[in-house]
Amino acid sequence: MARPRVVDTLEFAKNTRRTFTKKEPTEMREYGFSWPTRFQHVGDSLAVAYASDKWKKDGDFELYKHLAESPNRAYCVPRFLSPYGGSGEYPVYGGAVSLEGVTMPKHIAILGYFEEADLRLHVGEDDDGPFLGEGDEGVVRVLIKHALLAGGLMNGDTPFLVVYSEPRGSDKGGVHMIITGDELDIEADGIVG
Amino acid sequence: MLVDLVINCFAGNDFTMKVLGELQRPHVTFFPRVMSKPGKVTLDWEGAFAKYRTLLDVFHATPGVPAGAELGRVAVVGFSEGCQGVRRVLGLEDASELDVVIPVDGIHSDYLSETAKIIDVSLLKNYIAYGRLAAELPPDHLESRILAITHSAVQPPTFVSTTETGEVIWNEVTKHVAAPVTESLDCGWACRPVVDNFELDNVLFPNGDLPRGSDLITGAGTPKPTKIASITDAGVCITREPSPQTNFAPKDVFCWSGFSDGRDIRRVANGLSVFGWQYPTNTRRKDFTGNTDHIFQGTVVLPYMVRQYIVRRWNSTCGPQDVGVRSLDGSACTVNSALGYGKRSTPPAPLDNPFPLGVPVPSVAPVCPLPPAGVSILGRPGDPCWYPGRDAPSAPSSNAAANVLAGAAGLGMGWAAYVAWRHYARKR
Repeated sequence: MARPRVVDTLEFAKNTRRTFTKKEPTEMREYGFSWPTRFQHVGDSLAVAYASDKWKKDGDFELYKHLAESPNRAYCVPRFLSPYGGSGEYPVYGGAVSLEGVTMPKHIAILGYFEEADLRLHVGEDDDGPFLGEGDEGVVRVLIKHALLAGGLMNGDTPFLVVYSEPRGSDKGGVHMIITGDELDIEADGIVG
Repeated sequence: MLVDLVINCFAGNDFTMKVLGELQRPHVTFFPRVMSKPGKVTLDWEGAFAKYRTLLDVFHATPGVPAGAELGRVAVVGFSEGCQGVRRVLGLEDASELDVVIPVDGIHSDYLSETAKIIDVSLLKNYIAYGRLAAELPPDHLESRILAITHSAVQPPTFVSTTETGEVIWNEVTKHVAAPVTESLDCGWACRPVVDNFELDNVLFPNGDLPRGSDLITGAGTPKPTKIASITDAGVCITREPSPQTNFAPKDVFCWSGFSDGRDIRRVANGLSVFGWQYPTNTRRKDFTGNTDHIFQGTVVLPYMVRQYIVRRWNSTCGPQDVGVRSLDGSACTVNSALGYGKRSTPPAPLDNPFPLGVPVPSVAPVCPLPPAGVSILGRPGDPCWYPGRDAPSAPSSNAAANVLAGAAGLGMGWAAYVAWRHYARKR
């Protein structure tokens, strides 16, 4: 299966990091994982919380939570979500999407330590595809240990968020979830849209 | 010297600007400076016009206006979110002086109740007020005005679609307009809306504007020119690339054979036109994501609407005209009907509040799938579009505007079939 096309986005990543944290980027790391070929569109992202020392001295972390101001879509790698304290897969509706033909970034900007994501998962599926529930039906809190939140640029002009973890011991790490939105952007004020 | 003004809200692609270049009289184009709202990603169209009270203010702030120039005719065009700018212009203190208003696939509103499909019409009142002025007089009347709305069948996730707002504006205008709506079958084949429809139907691709083998490009001469479409024997072909905006739908190509390919909704009341594009698919869109339908509106429909409703209205016409359905002996050159700023019998004024007694709460009929030719979609009991039997209407439609447009269209869809379809659609 064809993989997404990966292009150099070093300048975007540096600029994003510089704008978002109000600090000069000082470090670049290389990871061994690559972009997954397929994701599952599990529903909408309602909020993403992260800890960052942006606009402050290094190490002075504060917790921030970006509340989606417009529809933010959440895509997880297949079979990623599992019930808290349980085992196996969390039942999730939603079609698989392929990143074939999509231009993905080689460089991403770390925004902070991932704290949690609040997702509104699809609660069913009919002839028109998956659908969301009423009220807080299907709303879940997603926790990932040791994950990071970063920003990237897709197709050369579309900012998106990526949740990933670094390799630790036998865990190879990798990309767990991406969040997109027509109005989503990363600015000096924080994540907007 | 009289100088005409075109206010351009997010509608400045190369093709549209080329068409505006066909205007014979001196004109200037005003591009509002639109910034993001503080802390938001949405653009601040209110703020873009905040320092202008009148069209004259806008005119004098437009680059390129010669010293001592007087304002002539005024048009405003907008595409997509630019229609918020159009709405703002309609709120200026002398908006009655606008000669042509063309909002393309961007008039939205909010739902007061999403489940009951109750639409907040307060966001539409400027359009409704101007629409009533436009609907009062035939387009070739000396004091006429034009409101020409187009829309695709794109369905936004949480707010009111352009299809729905088009229907609400049409309904609110035609049920309140003071003068009778005369552009019906009674107006005959030579009336302006019929001619406009005929001419737009004859815009087929490829053509002289969009020749076979060429690309439709915007931003030519800039560091980042963007290819919008390829022109092939199949017409204007727009490629949908996989992207988050389309939920990563696989790459596909969609072609339009002509301006009227899918122009299925045709409502005309004097100077008010509402044209909607839809297709016999489950989503009513050519591209199920709506992505390329919207692009087609902005890059192809928009420039041809500008040519039909601004350039042809404002330019002089000379010599015999033969559009296939009429032949006029115009041996002398004549300036078309549009009047310049301040030349109407009534002084410049703000638009009336269309709802002095309060805002109504209109709801729209559920959007139902279009039946393909010869097929009735029955659905299941309980479906909003369910119809308990095959449709066999016997009475003709009383919708005069729909009738004349069916006749004018001549789209290969028979008269009876069209009337039957209108009847079918209305019964549900």
